[in-house]
Amino acid sequence: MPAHFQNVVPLYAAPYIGTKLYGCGEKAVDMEFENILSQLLKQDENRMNMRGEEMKENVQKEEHTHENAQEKMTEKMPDKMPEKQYTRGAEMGDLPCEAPIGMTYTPWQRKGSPRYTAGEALDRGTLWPGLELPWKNNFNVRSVANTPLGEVQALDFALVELALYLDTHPDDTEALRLFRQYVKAYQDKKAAYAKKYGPLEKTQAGEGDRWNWIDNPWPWEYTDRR
Amino acid sequence: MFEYEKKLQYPVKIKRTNPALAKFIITQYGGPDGELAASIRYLSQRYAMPYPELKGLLTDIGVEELGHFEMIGAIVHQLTRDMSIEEIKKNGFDTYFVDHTAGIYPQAASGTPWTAAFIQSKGDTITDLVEDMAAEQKARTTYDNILRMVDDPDVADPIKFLREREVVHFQRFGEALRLVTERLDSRNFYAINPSFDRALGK
Repeated sequence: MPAHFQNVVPLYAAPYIGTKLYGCGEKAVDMEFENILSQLLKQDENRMNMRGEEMKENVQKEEHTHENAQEKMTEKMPDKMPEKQYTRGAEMGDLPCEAPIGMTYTPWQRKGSPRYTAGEALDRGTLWPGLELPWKNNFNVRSVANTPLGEVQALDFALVELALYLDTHPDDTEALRLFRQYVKAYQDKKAAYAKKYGPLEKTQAGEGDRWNWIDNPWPWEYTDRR
Repeated sequence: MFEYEKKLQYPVKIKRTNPALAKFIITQYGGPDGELAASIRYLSQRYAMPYPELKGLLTDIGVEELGHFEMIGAIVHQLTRDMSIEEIKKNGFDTYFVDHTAGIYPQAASGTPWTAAFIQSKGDTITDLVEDMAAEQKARTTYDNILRMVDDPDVADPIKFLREREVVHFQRFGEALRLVTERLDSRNFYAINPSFDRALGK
């Protein structure tokens, strides 16, 4: 293989040429990836025409066509790269091949993980006891959800936590069901609160004869009212 | 779009004015690992995210961080209410006071104003998610350090709440990275950038 050729074949693509792509174990990598890679290769092939001293000379000597370059490439590249070149990333660490070296590995939070109630969740900053990892094991236990607004905040917080969980576990039907239950409870509680203490969102404002959206206190103002 | 809800995510009810605490807690308002930086980072990075789970997660966490930005603002505001000049001078709040009175300004504890240089939006899915995981840990450490110096439970409780959110977000970003890598070749995750090279496949 001529020296210039080694320089122009993209390093990332070299081990895949003429081979089938596999992910972890026997799982085949999706076709999209293979398509992308083949297009990248084509691009680099075109670039290859422009690079390398020897190639430059060839361009000057003769009309260097795309077909010409491709022909050279297939001629020089072996059908299959030597076996040792396939062992990279996967199967090189001491975790299963889903957790290859050269990449961080975060375990999935399991479906059906234990949960706090909405009120406890607000106190502790998470709905999930498994994720509660406080500084110096100093757990937040003071209850803040036992006020009218605290009840609304607790239900809203449960929705925030479930939404983040569902973003990465969109097919967890039990969590979906729970989310919808909390939505109902939240809407009821929020409407009852607004009726008594004033609007939490603009659509709840303007019921009386003045624009009560602007009424004090605003959220950053501490009063004993709530 | 965004719609305001007239409530904090977690209650902030501080009885005692204490500018000495406000002086360093302000760093989570506008400092390098603060809530504003977190929000702007995620809400900006999401445009380059190639998969629906990631667009959802970056949006939802970015929005939650805006709520945390508001909580820190409330904490600093309540710690600096009704300060006397005597208290301001005694607690070393004079350097902040002279520029901002008792207004809330996004700056680090050192006085450095908030800057987009605190964040990155690299347009590479793996790079951005690893930055996000690091950002959550940096914020967690900052909250640890704040807790080392705060003895008022009215202040420590909301800080502990915010600190715990960093841990949860770290887990979610880690899962997001799994969602990315499981769509790539485990022999070489870095063969392509799915948020850029992906377009070639279309």
